[in-house]
Amino acid sequence: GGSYGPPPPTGNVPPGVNPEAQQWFSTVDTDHSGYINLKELKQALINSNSSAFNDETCLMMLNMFDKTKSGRMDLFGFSALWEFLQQWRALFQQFDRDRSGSISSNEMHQALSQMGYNLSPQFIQTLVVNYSTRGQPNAMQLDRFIQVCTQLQSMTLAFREKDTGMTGNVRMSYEDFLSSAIARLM
Amino acid sequence: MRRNPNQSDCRRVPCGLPSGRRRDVTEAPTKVGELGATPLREECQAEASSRSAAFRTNPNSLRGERGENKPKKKKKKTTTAEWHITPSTGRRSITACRRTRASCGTFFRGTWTPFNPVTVRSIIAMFDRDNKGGVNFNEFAGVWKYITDWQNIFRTYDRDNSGFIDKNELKQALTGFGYRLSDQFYNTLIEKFDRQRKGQVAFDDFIQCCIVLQRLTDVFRRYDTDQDGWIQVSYEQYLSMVFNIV
Repeated sequence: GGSYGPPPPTGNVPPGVNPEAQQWFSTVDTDHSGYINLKELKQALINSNSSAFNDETCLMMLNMFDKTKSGRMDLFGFSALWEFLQQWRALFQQFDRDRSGSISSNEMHQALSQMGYNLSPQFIQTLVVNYSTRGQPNAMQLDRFIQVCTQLQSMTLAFREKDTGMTGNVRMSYEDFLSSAIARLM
Repeated sequence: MRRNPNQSDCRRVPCGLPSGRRRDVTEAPTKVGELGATPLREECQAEASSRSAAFRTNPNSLRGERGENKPKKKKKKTTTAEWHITPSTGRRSITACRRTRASCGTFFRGTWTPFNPVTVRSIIAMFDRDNKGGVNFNEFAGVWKYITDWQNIFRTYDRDNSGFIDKNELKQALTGFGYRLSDQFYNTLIEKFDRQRKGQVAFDDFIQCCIVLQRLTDVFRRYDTDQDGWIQVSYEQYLSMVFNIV
């Protein structure tokens, strides 16, 4: 008997939530508040060299998936973040051709051109150097990779909005420039 | 209005702003992303080696076991010379970071929220002379003065001592620094730097707002060679400009 009772509450996955993300949610939500805050998120994420995700990337992702603008994520936000992370991780592993666990400027060059960016090797190299692990100037970890790619996306969009004639050059005023950069700061 | 900025817009040097010792806020970095990434490396690696082997076998996954990342409370005697404050996650630095935050917390009136970690990092990076990812005792004195200077400025505008300034007060403050910005732009600023969603800007976020504004203004000025308040930039130049900041 008893087989007609309601299903146990655990294992119920709300619609639109990734079941795997739901499993992780309670583990990451260390204070059991029902929400993931910046601290909990940072504690949960690590790079392949075992370093913690940096503050900026965590904050950026939190802002992206915190739909309530309360500085924390509910299960739905976390589930979306989970899928976002999986996608970037897959890309990261795909572009990490030599399986070093990090992205070199050569690998980044291939990655960005495959994503459709037309950027000079010098620019990409500077980017990688500046976002690499200290002491390893040609090795970008997953957190920085996500940060750089997301910001590139966002800034490219900002530029494109101004570049109505598609000339690759824009003329902008001081406040135009400030607004475009700040509005897209994450 | 936005299309026709006052000539003096970006050239008026905001005066009376606290400035860092090593890298003055008015002196923006020249390399792409220079501010973005550099500090904290050693700490991360130190932390890496201290973490359990479980992570290494499955490095890319979320950290599983609860409480695993709780650093063991091992009181380490540190001499003045080796004492670092870093905004990173290493054990020693967590303590130090909390110390900074706690100190900064005293600047708040009634809001005991953690100091914006990004602000902490921006400030540390300003005073961290040899890019070691932290500041030593002497550099910390500079950090302390810098924050105290900001505190004094903030208090001038935070009339009711609430620990927050509203849009009008922000406008007064930034106008006082020499910025001429449209009303619409202040809405953008409030929206972006109001981390606590109160419609007002807290002390730490105010500092962050000023740092970002100043860096953006500096980088704009570098491209605005004829000083008419307008720039013409290519895609890659634009990216370099904003990657300096974000």
